[in-house]
Amino acid sequence: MSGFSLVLGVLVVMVSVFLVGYPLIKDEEEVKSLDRSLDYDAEDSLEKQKESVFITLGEIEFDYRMKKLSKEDYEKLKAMYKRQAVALLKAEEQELDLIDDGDMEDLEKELEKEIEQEIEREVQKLKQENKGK
Amino acid sequence: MRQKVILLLAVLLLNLVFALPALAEEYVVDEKLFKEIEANLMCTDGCGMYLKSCDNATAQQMRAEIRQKLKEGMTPEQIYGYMISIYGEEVMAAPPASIPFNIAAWVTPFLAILGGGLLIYTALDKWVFYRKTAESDTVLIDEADLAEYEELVDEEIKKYY
Amino acid sequence: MADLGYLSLILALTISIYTIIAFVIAIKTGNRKLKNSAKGGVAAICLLVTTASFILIYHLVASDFSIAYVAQYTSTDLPLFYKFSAFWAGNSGSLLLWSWVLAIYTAIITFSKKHEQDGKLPYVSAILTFNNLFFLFVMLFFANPFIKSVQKFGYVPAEGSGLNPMLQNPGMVFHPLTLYLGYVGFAVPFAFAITALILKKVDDSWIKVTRRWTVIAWMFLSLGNLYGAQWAYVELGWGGFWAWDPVENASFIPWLTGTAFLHSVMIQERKDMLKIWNMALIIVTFLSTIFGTFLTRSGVLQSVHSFASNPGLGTVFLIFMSFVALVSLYLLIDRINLLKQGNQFESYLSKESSFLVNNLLLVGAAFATFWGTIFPLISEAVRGVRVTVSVPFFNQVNGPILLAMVFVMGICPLIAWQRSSLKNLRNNFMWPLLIAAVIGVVLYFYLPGRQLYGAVAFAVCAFVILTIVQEFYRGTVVRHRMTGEGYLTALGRLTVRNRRRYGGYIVHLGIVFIVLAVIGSYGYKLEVTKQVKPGETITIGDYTLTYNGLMEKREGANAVVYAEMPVVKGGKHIGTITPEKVFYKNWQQPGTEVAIRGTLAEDLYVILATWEWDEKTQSVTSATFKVNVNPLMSWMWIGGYLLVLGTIFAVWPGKGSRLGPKYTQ
Repeated sequence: MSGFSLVLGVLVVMVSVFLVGYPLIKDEEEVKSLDRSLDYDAEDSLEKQKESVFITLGEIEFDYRMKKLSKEDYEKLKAMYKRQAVALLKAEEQELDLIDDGDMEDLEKELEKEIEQEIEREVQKLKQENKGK
Repeated sequence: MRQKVILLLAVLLLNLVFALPALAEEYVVDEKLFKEIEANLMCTDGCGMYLKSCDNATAQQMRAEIRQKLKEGMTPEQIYGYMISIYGEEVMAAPPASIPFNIAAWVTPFLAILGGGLLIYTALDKWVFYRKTAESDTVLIDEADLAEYEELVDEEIKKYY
Repeated sequence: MADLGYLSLILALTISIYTIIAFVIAIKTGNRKLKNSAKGGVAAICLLVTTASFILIYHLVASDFSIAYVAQYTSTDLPLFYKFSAFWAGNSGSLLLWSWVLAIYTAIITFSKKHEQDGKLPYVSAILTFNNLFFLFVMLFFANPFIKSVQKFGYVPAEGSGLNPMLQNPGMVFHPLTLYLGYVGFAVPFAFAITALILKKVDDSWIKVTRRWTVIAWMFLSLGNLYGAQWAYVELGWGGFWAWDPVENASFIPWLTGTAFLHSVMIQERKDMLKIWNMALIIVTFLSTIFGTFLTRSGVLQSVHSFASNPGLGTVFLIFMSFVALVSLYLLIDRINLLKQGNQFESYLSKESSFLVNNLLLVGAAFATFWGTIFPLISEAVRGVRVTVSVPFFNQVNGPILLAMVFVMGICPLIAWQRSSLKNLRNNFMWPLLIAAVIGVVLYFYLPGRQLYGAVAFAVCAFVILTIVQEFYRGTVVRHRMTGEGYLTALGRLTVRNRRRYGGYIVHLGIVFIVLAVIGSYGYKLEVTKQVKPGETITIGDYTLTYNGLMEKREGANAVVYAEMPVVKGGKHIGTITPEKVFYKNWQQPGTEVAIRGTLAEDLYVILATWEWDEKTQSVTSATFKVNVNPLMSWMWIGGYLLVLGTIFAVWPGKGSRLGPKYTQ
């Protein structure tokens, strides 16, 4: 075995042992927040919901004009999603109003409501998970 | 061999008398038929190649053999039979359906697809049935709101196209 | 250096055992240190296998014949490019390549930011590492790439045996590489699927996370098959590109099931259905990639692709496959209640149901291919007679199935999700169907031979192309009307904002082009084999080739015999074509260099088959040429490029790369 390959060999072995061994002796790093609810929040945010509903509405319109949806289905679907869209727009407006007015009382109420909704959502999620098991 | 040739000549002469137009076909090997036969055979020296695509000595010899047999007036079926009698069933590029067991080779894939199709059909039947009995949910909004926001919605949609 | 390569592999094997155990304990105890150590193990394996691979490449390039593998597959006069590609020319080297790709994939997954916080990661990494453990084990105990010549042959050869000239072709360099990138790529969705089963989290997150992997693996597998076809076409010299050889079948089966998987997961994403089916498909796809490797190395079936067969190796692969199959099956059955679907179908006629038909046909073709491949074994077991299942069988059985598949490919994209009605169908299909039918009828009378099958096949292709064009056209017009954008802008935004869908259409178009080439070259090929003396001509179709005698030249260490033949087409001289036979210094069998003059319409394909030598005059009296006209062949390669283009377009990240929105009634 030549000198070079000896050096290379020692190097490779050392790096490998380091890669495996170092995490074992290293002090526990600060545990990063495993709070994944953050992600879910982003997913469920008003903005996301709005985007999803409006894209869907666009898609329904598009499919209908592509003659892939029958008129009857189109109208039914459109009405259904429009309702959702209106609900979302209303919610958004309320949020905006809140910020504009700076009405503390309302804000508190709104927050309470949101927390309640959040709890309910979590409960629902848990229920569903349980159902899944 | 010689006798065979004489016999063949005799047959030819007879043919000449009774069916003149058939003459050309008797002498020259029908290339189309030859290719068809070639396309159904394998090269037999263990190269594992399809006769059509093989170019080694064995393949050449087998081709000569096919031509010879065609000249002798054998039908394709007879030639296949002759080849099988010499080289075994392996010489055929696809399992000959004349043997009952081999029919399984040909039929099974289609039976499987048919079975799968039936399965899908019954599944669809079930799923569509369930759908009909299920309820769909809608968000409840009063009509006044709906009218009020209609324009806004239509405006918003455009942003998402 | 070779010792170092061997050592790296041993170390990699040891660390992979450790890594798997560490992951399992980390999962059980939640020990984060151990988990990080195991992740380090994954990095170490990647480093070690990479080192081993570079060492093998180093020896190959340096022509160090003290290594048996180098002596077996290279020689000093081999061009550098092929010295390098000899890496995967043999059994043990190709196993090393497999292991290398797998190690890199595993490391990418393990250290990807996306999965950092994901509880699934240790499982996925452990499964992938287990997979690699198997390949390392096989290499170390059955096919060591670093074995010394002294150990293997008893001496060190002064010169290597050289690379089989047939493998000295760019196609043969890329064919195995892309194929392996594809094969190994399917290990990733498989690992995620099994993890989902173990964790009992069978929602569609495993599908979403692995979608890009699956699509890219699929693209590489397609490319691998196409490169193989191209290689066969230009190098083997029998005028074809696909021989339904067991090993070709073995790479076609995962392609078919993988394609089915790509489509059926869309239903799970949208409707949360077909969970069992998708799991089964990815398991089967993964198993069939291993099956292909098993076939090439075990010698159970006769194949032109076989590496030197090694029964021990075959057994090990068989055990591994059975193990994977049993464990997967157990998990699948054990979790079957979780996988029961919640949703329903709205109608018999919908995109969903057309996807079911597409899956049926793809899996049906995969089954037919598998069935035909193993039928010789069945026949031998049952009747004691070995039969051959080759080209005629597969063409006759798979032909109609795949044609039906192509037809469905035209229908699926035009049906709406959820529900479609006859009226919608009429709106969408009337014109394409009518035009395609007219094209079919015209072609039937216009093309030689009055072939019904061929005309129908062309009509089906025309139908699919028309529906795709219609999709783009109508989409653009509708978008233009909806947004007021100019037509070009509308087309651009339409496709870019729905990349998955329109990328998919581009891939479909690529597939249709490939199918066109298959139909043209199978059904309408012209063939002439003729022995000619100097001055004589060969006529085929519109072409007339003149033979002016053979010439000889030297190319490096090789002697080349060639003929320069002027080609006249329709009375016009269009160039010369030069078929060659190459005699290699260190290879017994002479090689055929096919001369191809390709246009979009057809390839003129000329092979110098043989020649007659007259002892008396010491000269060549006549030569025999095999001349083919293969219609539409170029479209196979064009289709291949389009397929790659469409795939890349479809998986391009960013806004617009997500699945189109769903609406449910």
